Amino acid sequence: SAAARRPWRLFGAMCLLRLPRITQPLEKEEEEVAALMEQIELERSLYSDHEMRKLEEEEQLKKKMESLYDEDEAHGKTVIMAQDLEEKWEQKFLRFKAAPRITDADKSNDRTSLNRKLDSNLMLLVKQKIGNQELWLLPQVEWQPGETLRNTAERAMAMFLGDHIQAKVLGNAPYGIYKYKFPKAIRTENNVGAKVFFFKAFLQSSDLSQAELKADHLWVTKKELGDYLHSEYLKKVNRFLLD
Amino acid sequence: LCCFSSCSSWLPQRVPLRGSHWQSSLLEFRTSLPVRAQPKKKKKVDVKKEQAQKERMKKKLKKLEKAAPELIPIEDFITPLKYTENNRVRSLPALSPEESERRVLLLKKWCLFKQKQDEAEKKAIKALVESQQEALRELQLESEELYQAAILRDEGLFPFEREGPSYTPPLPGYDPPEGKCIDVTKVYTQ
Repeated sequence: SAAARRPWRLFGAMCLLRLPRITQPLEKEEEEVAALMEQIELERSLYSDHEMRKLEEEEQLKKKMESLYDEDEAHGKTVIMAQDLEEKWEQKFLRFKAAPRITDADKSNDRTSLNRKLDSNLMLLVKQKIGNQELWLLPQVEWQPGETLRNTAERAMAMFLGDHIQAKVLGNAPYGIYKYKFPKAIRTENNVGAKVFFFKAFLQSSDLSQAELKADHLWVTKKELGDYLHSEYLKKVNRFLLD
Repeated sequence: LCCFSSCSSWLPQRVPLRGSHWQSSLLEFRTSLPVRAQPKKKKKVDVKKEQAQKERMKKKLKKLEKAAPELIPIEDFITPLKYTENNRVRSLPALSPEESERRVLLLKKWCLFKQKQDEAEKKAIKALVESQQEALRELQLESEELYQAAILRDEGLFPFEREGPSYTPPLPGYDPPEGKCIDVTKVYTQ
């Protein structure tokens, strides 16, 4: 690396994703087809053991109602009907209360919490000072000689979320690049502009109470990125984000 | 035997009669017949016979092993007999023509929906790959060593494991009911 010093400064940025925890709601066509498939499955099936038992017990009950013979007294023991079992199971199911899909954070639109929008990816945005402006960006930090760009990105993540963050970085290669030239006031021969290389990582630990958040941060979905990022930056970031 | 007839007429003589010189005492009749030569014969013939038997057994075993192993039956493909009885057939009203019409149209809409979904996925993946290629090109322009470090294979990435999403988020402080899971799958050995 004894070549002439390049005019671009290098930055490594990390796009930290919190993966979805619940399934997305079905589209209208999906719901219709799901209902159709269930109907077809029902039509083509045979009676199961439980249903056979139910049918037989219904017939027995009918016979007892019509002709009141005292064979049931001759049998002596109480028989649990399949219908009773079904009711018992239904009661048990109604007593169970699952966690709600729309959380409190959703209702209050608290964008700093991780519990929001459990069915989509959430990305970390931090407020950083670039030049003399405070901007919302993916966490980035300048590259220092002696480390790879992936290490730079990991350092950026650690700087904003603390050292004990568990994230799986997806590979050594950058996912995207954003190039910009410095405003004419500070542009020099050796310092034309900056190249920001983006890396992607999946958040593994579900709670960040241990992490020391050093700056203003937000967790936003892909659609909400537009509220915070500049259009050029947003275009480059959107290319490597799958919804 | 002639000795029998002579001893049957028990004369009041003190000297016992011996029928043949092989008979050592009067009361024993057949104990001291010639038995000397037989043990030798038994050993030789038996050893040979046993060896021949062992070889035959070994040959049979080899033949069995050479034969192709039996195929393990796939239990999912064999319908149990109790489901072939007729009384299990469900009785539902027949499909009206409007209903079958609606079903066919719905399946056609579904085809289109899935095609659009697939195209969108492919487009997204293509954009992702293009973005990565562009980033790598720019990196190469910048510095060769960083580029080489970036295109190295990440050994720690695979095997990648992740639990899929469920319908509802996990309930904090939920105590699942206790129970034991007994595995009753049949294991076949060849």
